[in-house]
Amino acid sequence: MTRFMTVLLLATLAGCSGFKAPQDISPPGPAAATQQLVLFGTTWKYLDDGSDQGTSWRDPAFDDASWASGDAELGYGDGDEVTVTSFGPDPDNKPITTYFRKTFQVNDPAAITDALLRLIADDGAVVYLNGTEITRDNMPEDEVDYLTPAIDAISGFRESTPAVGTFDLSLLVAGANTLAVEVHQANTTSSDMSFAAELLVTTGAPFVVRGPYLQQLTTTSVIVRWRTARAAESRVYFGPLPDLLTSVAGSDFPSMEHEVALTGLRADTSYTYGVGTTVALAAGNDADHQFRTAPPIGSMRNVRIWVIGDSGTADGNSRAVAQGYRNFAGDMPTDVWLMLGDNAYGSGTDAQYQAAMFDIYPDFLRTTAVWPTMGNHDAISVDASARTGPYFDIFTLPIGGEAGGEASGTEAYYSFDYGNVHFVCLDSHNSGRSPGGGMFRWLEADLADTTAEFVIAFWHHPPYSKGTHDSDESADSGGRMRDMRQTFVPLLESMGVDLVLTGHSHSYERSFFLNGHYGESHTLEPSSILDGGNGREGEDGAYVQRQGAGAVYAVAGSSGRVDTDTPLDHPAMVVSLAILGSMVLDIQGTRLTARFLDRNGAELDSFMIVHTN
Amino acid sequence: MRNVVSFAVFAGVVFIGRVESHEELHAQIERATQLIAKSPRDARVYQRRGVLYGEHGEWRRALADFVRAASLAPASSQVAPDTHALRAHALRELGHAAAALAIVDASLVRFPEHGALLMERARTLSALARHAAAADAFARAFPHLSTIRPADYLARARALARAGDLIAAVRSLDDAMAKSGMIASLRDYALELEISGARHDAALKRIDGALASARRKETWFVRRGDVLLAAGRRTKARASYRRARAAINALPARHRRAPAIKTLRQAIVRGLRSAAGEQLDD
Repeated sequence: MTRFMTVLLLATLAGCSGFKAPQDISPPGPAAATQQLVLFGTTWKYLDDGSDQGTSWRDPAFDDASWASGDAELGYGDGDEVTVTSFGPDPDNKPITTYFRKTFQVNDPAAITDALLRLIADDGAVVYLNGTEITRDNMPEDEVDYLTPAIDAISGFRESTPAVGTFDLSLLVAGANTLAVEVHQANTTSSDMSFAAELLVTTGAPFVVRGPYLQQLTTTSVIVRWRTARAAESRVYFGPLPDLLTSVAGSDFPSMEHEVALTGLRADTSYTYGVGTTVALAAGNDADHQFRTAPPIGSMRNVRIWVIGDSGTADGNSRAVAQGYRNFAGDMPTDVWLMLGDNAYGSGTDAQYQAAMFDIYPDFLRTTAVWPTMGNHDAISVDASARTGPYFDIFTLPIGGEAGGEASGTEAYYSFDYGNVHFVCLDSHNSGRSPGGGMFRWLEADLADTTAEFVIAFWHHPPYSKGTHDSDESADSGGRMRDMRQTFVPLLESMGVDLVLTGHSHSYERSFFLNGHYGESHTLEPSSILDGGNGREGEDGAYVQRQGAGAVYAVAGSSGRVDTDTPLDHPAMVVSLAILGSMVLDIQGTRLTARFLDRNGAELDSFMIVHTN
Repeated sequence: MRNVVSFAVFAGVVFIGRVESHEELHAQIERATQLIAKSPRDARVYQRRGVLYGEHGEWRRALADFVRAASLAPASSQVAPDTHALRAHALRELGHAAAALAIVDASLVRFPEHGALLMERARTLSALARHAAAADAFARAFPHLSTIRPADYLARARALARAGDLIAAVRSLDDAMAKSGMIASLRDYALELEISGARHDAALKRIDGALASARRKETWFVRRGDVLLAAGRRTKARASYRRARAAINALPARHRRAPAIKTLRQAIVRGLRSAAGEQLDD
């Protein structure tokens, strides 16, 4: 939850009764014209001879007529450069620094209200505008010269994900302006160097650089969050359709992290929204910015759930898995979206969340509230005691039972209701896992109070796995898999959980219909397998919840990577696959259908759980 | 712009609870070892590796790194109190709580308001079974924490209860709920303490409060019956057990079949049997 911006001056002028606003809300027009002052593919002057240019090259008046010129992206070594620059004769002794300059025109700088610089620089860069440094990326804080290496050699998503920032607008002048960029390698043997940049300006609301995204959606409320590069007040305009945004909520507190609760909404109702300021919309008010509130608790309306685990690779794998789901789902909306942890490799920083979540799933984030659990990688940047860090900053999760269920008092573990499903999120990483501990006590109380037809629990460390992680090894993952199996699975089974979803192992492993297996894999007794079939209608038949104690356990940790050299031979599993993919759950009345989809959207496994009366 | 993951990120924060995946943990330890080779005078890299060892349960190695970090950290730096807290934690894990306490107390002289040190002191006192002192230590630590978790409130209440002061334990939970809302884990522990102290009326009041807002009431009616029975109010106990049974019978089949409900039914039968004796005080 964003503590840095405790917003939510709720100014829902619609009177919390649908769209009948007590006064005529006239949402501001679309965002004022955005101008691209520098395009990503623009032509730059550059100097790639490894010389020491001192500081004079940064000045607008510097004469760069002798420099070469070429279109971006510039650089070498990746094969995707439009202009290949030189690294000299010795591949083992490449120049550390390459210089770039670009002059552009500004007509009326006083009218500009925000500027956005998007920079791709492999490995690091320092950027100057009209001779003044405006930002640096992956460079030491001290004075740099032409031999100063970048902090580290970047790879993976960092090579292709633009860094985004803004700067002091007073640096812009009427007429000619000059961007000067020095790109530094981390070392002289680096295989590649890349540079491209884009500069946008607007006369309207500040640029949205993250989101908008939805949190904590309930029958009557939702939280809309977004980030701007420049502090401004927060407004969310919403209504039944695009261009019919008849209500508004927000805060006058200037912030770059915006978090606005929309309350008093109608259950199971579609809304369109846009975000911005009091004077301008920055994003939304179109068919891409819509959400549907949850159906009434207990409603038997069909519910579609998308489940991804260990998805935080920020690469083609996670994109492909998302596209596979899109292929499968078509126009059918996603009601609930679960993330099973390790949402942002390698250490769950804000930048890694940007690359692994916000840049990969922008369409889902705009329309479906995401409910995450924390993985071990997300936890690296988290202070477990203080409950601070990117994971807690980025997500706004219920602590007081705001979305149904019992108040947990912490965002680390929580529950929520959606239609006729009760979801329980546990923290298998940082929270105490002992019987009698806070999480255990809370879970006991929470499950004892649910009236939902189905109960689905999710956390990161699997109770049963022979994938990347071996649930039989008590030293693996600090004993977390064992603890969850021995302490929490018995409680969940006694209270009637139907399905347990986890990640951590980068595979798909799906169990029989189980009850009472709390030991290592070799202790699995036939009596613990309530149904040894595959759970498919038309084949072995659906799993029937007769005793109220059976559950299916699925590891769905292959939404970003797979590990193929693991045994995947846990005897409790019906299906074990080392294949990229995600899970889809469809709940229709008393039937739960689960599917595992590969990266193309093809169904590789399915099962059904049926409740009988 | 892009965040750079460096150990600077970790400086000043006690990350006892952080764990990498198993094989990655080894890799991280190896990387930390390489960093130590590069910067053998940097306390933070020893601290970092010590945390990783701790995650892996290798507390002796963790302790060695924390000791080394403590010797390298400038006494006035933020690294120092974190390192001392970690060192004490490792000692406590190794069963040397008294030594841990000495380290924490010495460090608190210089950093008297350091939250992690204060919490480590409270936990160490608990480990030493000095429960009253532990409870005081928790109370002293809480104002210096940015977030107090339900588990922290429970630990303080548990220390008070073990020190024999049930009333103070319950009051501490009520204070916590007044600040943080009706947290289920705190509510239920408060009730457990009331019952263990035979404070029947107070327990009944809590149960009635919970019953008013509960969506499912069967568990609460059973608890109510148990408390009434313990108080010798058998007629009311019987009525409460019957209401529990009725509540169960009204549940959808899906919930009625849950093992926990079967256990509850057995509790009802036992309770009704116990309450079947001659009416005493009703």
